[in-house]
Amino acid sequence: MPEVIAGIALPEGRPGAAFEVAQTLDAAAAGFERTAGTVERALAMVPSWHGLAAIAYQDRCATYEQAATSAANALRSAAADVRRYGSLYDEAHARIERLQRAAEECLARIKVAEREAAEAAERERAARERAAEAATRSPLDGGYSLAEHADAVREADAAADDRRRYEAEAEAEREELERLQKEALEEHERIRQAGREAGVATQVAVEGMPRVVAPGAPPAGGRGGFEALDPFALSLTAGAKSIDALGGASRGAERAIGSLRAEARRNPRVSWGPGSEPPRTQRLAQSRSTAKMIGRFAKPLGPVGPALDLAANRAQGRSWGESAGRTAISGGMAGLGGFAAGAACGAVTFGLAAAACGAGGAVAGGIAGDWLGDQAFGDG
Amino acid sequence: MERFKVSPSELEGAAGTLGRVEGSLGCPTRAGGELGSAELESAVGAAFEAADAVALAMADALAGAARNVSANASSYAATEAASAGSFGAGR
Repeated sequence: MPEVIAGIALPEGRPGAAFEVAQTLDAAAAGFERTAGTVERALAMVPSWHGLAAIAYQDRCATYEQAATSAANALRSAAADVRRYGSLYDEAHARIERLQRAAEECLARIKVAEREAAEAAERERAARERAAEAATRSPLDGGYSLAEHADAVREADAAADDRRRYEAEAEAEREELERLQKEALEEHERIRQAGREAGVATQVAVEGMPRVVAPGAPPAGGRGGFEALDPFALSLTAGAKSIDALGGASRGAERAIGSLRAEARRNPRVSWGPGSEPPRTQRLAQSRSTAKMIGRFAKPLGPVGPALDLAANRAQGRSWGESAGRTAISGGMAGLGGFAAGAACGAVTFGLAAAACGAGGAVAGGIAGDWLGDQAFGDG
Repeated sequence: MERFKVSPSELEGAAGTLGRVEGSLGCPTRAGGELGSAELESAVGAAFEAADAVALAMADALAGAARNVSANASSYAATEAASAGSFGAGR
């Protein structure tokens, strides 16, 4: 519980905490920036590499770089918001501490004034009693004394003046205390307002973060459905550009499944499935154009392509039967062209971002570099 | 003859960098009540979680890519050598 002094409470929280959080956000942003730089360097290392595999590689690297940059920018922005709030909070906290001290002193002065007023009142009462007693004294006791009566009345009047003065002082100090308490409340409100604004600004900044999407999740989303998924691709969505982070059904996908399951267990905020239509729509157009080109060179990917198709159809909310039918059509169409259905074909047909996992697809038995691209970037 | 110049260790390095990013998140400074604003605490928590999820996914993705490059770089060199003068040349 925050310390309360003279009716003024310190605000919740700790001075400097916001700056520590901002520092952590900055550190995380720096991590993403380093990663973007590393990916950029990796990309710059192969200026003479051409072909489909190189396209896949460049596209992948550009996506990672963009995702990392987006994350870094979002975190930097959030850090700035938190830091701005931290400045305001720390200043307000310090002001409230000063107000507490002032109010404490004020309270002490009120007590002194009240005590003095009480003593003056007592003196006045005693003097008035003496005056009355002097006025009514019987001749047996010495009789009426004008001088004594006048002294007592003067003393009573002086004590009354003191009492009134101290009462006025106490009243002024009480008003001052009230003003200080009111000012402290305004500081509290200022902190609350700044916290709300910083919270909204941070939320907005976080909106710029790439989102992790498991394409195969059912529309309802949630952890319950996730266990039943086959996330053949793990997508990173960064603004208008999106591509799968891991494709295929190999070790990479297994690892992704494990990671996502772990993430799902501890982070219910991760959005699953078709949760981001605008970027998804945008990336479909991109995936289609890329996939259209690479589809011409698609090579068999075993069960991966049809499985991707199936997952994509399920993600679109189609029934298992319809999904299977469409998958067969997809595979058949690709087969007619002399090429088996691959992840790329799945993307052409259904726009699954996992298309790019086949982005390095190559003519079967053909181009070595493309074969590598497929192995390196396509098959997980 | 070797034309594939991306060093697997470069991508491994990127993966490691991302791994470190992931590890640097979720720090204890966002302990309850320290910021003095529930709204901001919540937003910062969401920022950490989002960054955590992205870092985890990217680390996985880059680790996967690095692993594949690492596993296939030698195959690439051999294949390119075999097909030199035909499809692979000049890539």
